[in-house]
Amino acid sequence: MDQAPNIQTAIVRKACKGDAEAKAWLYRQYNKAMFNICLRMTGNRNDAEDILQDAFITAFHNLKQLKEAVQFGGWLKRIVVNECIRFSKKTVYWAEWEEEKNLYLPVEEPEWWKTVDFNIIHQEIKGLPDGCRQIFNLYVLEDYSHKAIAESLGITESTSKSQYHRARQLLKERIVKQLQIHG
Amino acid sequence: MDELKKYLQNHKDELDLDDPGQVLWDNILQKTEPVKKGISLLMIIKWAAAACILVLAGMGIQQFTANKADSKSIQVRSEKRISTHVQENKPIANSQQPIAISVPKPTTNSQQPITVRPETRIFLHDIESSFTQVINLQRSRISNTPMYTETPDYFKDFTIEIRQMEKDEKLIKSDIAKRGMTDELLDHLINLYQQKLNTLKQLQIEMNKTNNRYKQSRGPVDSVKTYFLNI
Repeated sequence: MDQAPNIQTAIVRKACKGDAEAKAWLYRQYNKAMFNICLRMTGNRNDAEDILQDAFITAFHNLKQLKEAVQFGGWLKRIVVNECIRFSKKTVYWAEWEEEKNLYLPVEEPEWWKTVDFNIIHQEIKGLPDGCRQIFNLYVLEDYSHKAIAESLGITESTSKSQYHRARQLLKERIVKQLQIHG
Repeated sequence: MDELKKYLQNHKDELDLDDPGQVLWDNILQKTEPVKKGISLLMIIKWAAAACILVLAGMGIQQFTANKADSKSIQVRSEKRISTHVQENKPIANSQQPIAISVPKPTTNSQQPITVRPETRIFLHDIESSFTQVINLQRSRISNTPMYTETPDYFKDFTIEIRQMEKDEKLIKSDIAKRGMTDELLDHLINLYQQKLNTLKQLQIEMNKTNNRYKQSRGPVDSVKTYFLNI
């Protein structure tokens, strides 16, 4: 049980010295999780793959800066999310949504999501509109606070909150619709 | 905490349903591999030059080592060649100066470490007796060759040379008795015997040439004037 961190430490050290096999091992270990983060953030495969590629290249080039080899996964995830945020800031026009704040207020609702297949949830998250999709992902799956999201994306905290509730509302509507159509 | 958030965070791994393209890793690897420098012509030339220097240095060291070990014997051989050359080209009758035959002095002051091989002791007696037999044979041939012309003084240089060699032989033998047999002394002794044998052969040749010249120019030999060399 305790061997996994040791193995990863040894492999990170080898990768640090430029060992291609070690790098391949790290890629195999983390590529899927990181790709799905990118995919949910960007909404399309091409951009997700570009970001994933840049993130791994950045990670391998800066591997010597990683102090604890066992923390490679968390460190890589921060690089990936930061790349996604940088991409979002470049491609999403945020100013429009400032006007839409407080349109979606939080409401108490039954736990409708518990019976929904994860594949449907994953597909609908990817299909959310730009802006609210990134905020939903950062807040729900990456556990960013609205304050941190606001600072990262250069928007106000209230915009982050309103976009999150908009995303959540859209998600529910679309999933319910999916379930009505396909059962 | 938001219940939806809590639920999705607890099942985050189950949302990882997509896989990246297969070529993605190739691109990453290509861009993160350290740049391999191609083997340039300059590199090949540098390595070839280094190899040549090493080979030459090796040959130099080998040559130096060989020269050091054989310096004494080479000295004897070269002097032998000089003396032989003198005998062949210089008319013996006109030779005023004795031919210098030098065997290196016993190396009592030599700073080189003396190595004694046990097998050289065993072969010393055999070598000595073998050379002595051949030398004595050559001596007897000379002593039994009648000379029809010139005088014994005509061949004086050869006699001096052989006497000098015999002195050197005694010196080397006494040195062997004092210090024991070494490779160096054995080399000196062998060279000396060879040199002695060569000198005797040269003397025989010169005697034959002198007799032939006399026969061709003067006709029948005068038995009264005939003499034998006591060498």
